[in-house]
Amino acid sequence: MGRLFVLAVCIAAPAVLPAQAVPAHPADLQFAPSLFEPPAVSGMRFELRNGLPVYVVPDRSLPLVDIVLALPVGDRNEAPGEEGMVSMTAAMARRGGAGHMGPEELDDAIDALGARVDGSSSWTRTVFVLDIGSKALERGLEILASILFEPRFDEVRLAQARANLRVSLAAREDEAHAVLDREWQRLVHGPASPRSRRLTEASVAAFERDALAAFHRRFWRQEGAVIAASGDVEPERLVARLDELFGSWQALPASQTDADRKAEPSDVSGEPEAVFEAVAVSPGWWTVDRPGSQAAMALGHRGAVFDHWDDRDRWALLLLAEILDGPGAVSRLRSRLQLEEGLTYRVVTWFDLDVVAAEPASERSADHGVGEFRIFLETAPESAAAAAAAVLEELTRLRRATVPEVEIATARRSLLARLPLLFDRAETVAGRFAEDELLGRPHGYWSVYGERLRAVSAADIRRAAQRFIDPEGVVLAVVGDSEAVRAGRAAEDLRRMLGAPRLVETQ
Amino acid sequence: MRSAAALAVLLLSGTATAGSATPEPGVGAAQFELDNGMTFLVVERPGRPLVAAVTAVRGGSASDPAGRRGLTHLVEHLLFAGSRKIGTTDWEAESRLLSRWEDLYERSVRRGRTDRDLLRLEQRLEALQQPGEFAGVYARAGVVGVDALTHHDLTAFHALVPKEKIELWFWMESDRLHRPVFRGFRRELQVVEQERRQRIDSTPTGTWFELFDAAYWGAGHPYAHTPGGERREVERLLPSDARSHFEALYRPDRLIAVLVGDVSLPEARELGERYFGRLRASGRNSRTRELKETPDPAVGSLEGLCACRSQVEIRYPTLPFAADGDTVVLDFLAGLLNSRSGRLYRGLVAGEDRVAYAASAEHVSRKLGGYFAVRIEAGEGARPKDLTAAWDALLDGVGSGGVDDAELSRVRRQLTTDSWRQLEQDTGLAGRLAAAEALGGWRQLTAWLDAAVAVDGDDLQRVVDRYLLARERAVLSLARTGG
Repeated sequence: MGRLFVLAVCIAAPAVLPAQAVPAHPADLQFAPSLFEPPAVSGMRFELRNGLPVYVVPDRSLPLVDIVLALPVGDRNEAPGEEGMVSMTAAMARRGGAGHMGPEELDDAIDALGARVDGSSSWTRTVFVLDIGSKALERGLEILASILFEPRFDEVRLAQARANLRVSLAAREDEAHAVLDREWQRLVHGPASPRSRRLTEASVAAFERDALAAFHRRFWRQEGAVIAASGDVEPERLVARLDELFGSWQALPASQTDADRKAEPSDVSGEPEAVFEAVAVSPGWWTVDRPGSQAAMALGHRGAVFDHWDDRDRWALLLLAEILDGPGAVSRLRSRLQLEEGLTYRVVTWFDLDVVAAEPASERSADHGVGEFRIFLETAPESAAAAAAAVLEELTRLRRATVPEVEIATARRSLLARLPLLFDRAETVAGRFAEDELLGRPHGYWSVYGERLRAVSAADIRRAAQRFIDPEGVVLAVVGDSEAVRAGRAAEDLRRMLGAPRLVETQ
Repeated sequence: MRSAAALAVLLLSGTATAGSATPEPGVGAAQFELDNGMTFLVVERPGRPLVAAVTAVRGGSASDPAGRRGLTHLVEHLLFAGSRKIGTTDWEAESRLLSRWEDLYERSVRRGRTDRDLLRLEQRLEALQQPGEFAGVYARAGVVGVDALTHHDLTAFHALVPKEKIELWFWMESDRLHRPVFRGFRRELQVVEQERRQRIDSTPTGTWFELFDAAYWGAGHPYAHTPGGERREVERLLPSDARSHFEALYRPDRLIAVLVGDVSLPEARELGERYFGRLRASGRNSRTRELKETPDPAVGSLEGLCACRSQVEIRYPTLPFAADGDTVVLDFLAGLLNSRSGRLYRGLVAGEDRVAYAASAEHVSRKLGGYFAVRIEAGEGARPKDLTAAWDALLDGVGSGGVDDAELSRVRRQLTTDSWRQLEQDTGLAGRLAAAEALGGWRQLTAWLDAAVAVDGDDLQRVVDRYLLARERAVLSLARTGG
């Protein structure tokens, strides 16, 4: 970013360049070629004395600093009975006081700096973010270290959090989306899968101080952690300070770490190919009866499994996802469901494309090879079957017919056009490279990104569709007025595709 | 609509670290106007690969004509259908059929049934139309983030454009405003109905907040309906309504363009003149609503049951966006109440007598009026009336002059760093500039932070005494179904 400065000027209208005609069509416009190249990581990566990697990308245009500390610990590491423990530990580390500070003192200290400090978690990671003015950075880093190493998990705040979670549990059926997500996961992955676990009153009651402290000791380790720093910083000076605060964070013996991070054995076993043979535990058309003028639905099955980032089919699947429902392209689903048939306001597609490190089947963690392929949309109940049938037809078309070159070119251009967004600011550059480290993705992935996408052929895309999409093995879960859905337009067509609808008995 | 605090991005001051090389932050916007009255704001940020571009019109759902609520939003959707050059394989042939189709469609709406001839004509039209071409041209050029929003006072169209293709954005945006063609009308009515169901009907509280807005602003007030409009009125909208509304609302002197990124001011000016300079006001009469004096907001309460957490929203009438003086103090008051060390969290969520699951405050400033809102969701066992009572007790503490220097200092620091954060992202900055300009002028915000950091306890006391009056407030109370 260039230097920003105060400038508020009013400029008179006359053009400084000679007036030119407006071309008749945008195809008549000529453009210079894009010169964007992803930045090189050189000079951005540092290591603390304990080996903890730190990525630093300075940007002095604003007096702000972002520090992100990520741990490779997520919901997938929870054992049965520990539902919610990862997110609760992260949230309460921030809220429950740290070091010599009680909860209110910690809140006061952070707010007085004008800082934001948040702890959160996802399926695969726990993340702490410090967003602060550069003048206050020194104190902010001390607070972050205190939260990380000496959380107090205050009993009063814990009791408040448990009470709030009980309120949330009572409201869990309020939102159709939450019901859909729960039932879809159960139908696709099976009731015993870690992805199907949900918070219960018993798991909330288990959120005691000692349990959180034990979980913190067990999982918040230096192994696999990474720091991304960006903004108004001087790299060497910052790294020296990070080394003082985080450099003595010690690793556990490897054997103990592995044992800790392994959750329960999965209900899914075998080689990746075998996993993909069973694309969903309970395929078919399922409905959850819920009165209302709108139906929410999810359609899909388990996701693809890759063991390295440069798998040719992975690049093909990336393009296929863009053709099917890319946010930047004229996708098939949007064209058909919205522009042609007016069936939905929005459709969203997920393809998990992360790589799972090769492990012997006996040692795989619970979620090994259990990614997701999910299409979500909402429509009127009487249109739900028609929308689902249209989606299935589009999935089948991808498997049976070759995608025209012009469509592939549009999708490729759209994907490449979004590449600069992944590196558009210092914060995203540091975060991207730190994420590489966390995921085991080589930094060189970004330099071959364009070349690999350009190498994908129509045959590759069709092969990927045949390998990773199974229209006959999908789960279709619909939350809405079941009677209207079953009697809706194209319901007979959908029955022929997926069989008769079955009613989900909700909890 | 964003609060004034959220829009306060055009600040000019800031305390740089002593000895730091970092300059004081500022937006660095330059403004120019075309001969036809269209306003351009340009923030040059060399080195950015994409340009955040916004086309906006000073008018949103508050401009919907009487009996046609939702029309502005529908026009926003229809502006993606293309023009005489984009979205058709043969405009001459299409225009003849389109004219006949409109006659048949209007007749079918009057009769309340769909004519077979209409459906046959639609099939013939579909053979000539390319509904995805507008999005397709952008997609093939690598333009991303193409989207639009209709607010109460503003309609805005967003895009992120590769810097070397910025001329394409000028071509496409000026073309759709120059000679738009509202094709696919019946289908787009279905899509906006889907959007309404998704945003309002299928959320637990959506319909209640829609009712509260209607009751609070009062029948006939431009803010009394949501941008999506009224279903029964939307169903009866006609292509001729959309055209006349477009011509009245999208006059060049109501248009704003904002560019943030690696685009130079001379380039923006030259391209602006060439492409948008061809837009002319149509001069047609229309039923588009001109915004004048509006009735005072209602006082009272609306109570109901819903499948949601028990909750209340308490609203106090305040000031429109363009008003001087107390607006910034009300923004500051929201800052005092929010955050983990703020009064709401300490008093209602985490205190010994806590009643709340969550609580927040916001000062909402729109063009024609504003309000200060406090939203509280109930904690375990709490009822809506407990939440209102707890808020009243908490407000007494603020109003009795009990704000200390540490609290004032905390809020000043938070407002300062928040305002810097709002300068970080080009897309967000472009949107805020457009919104500020549509609401009353972007320069009005340039002194916002200076004024905010000067707020003291006496100022807070004054606005609490003047605006946060129980006798002038409106309350929405929702109790969870089944207790």
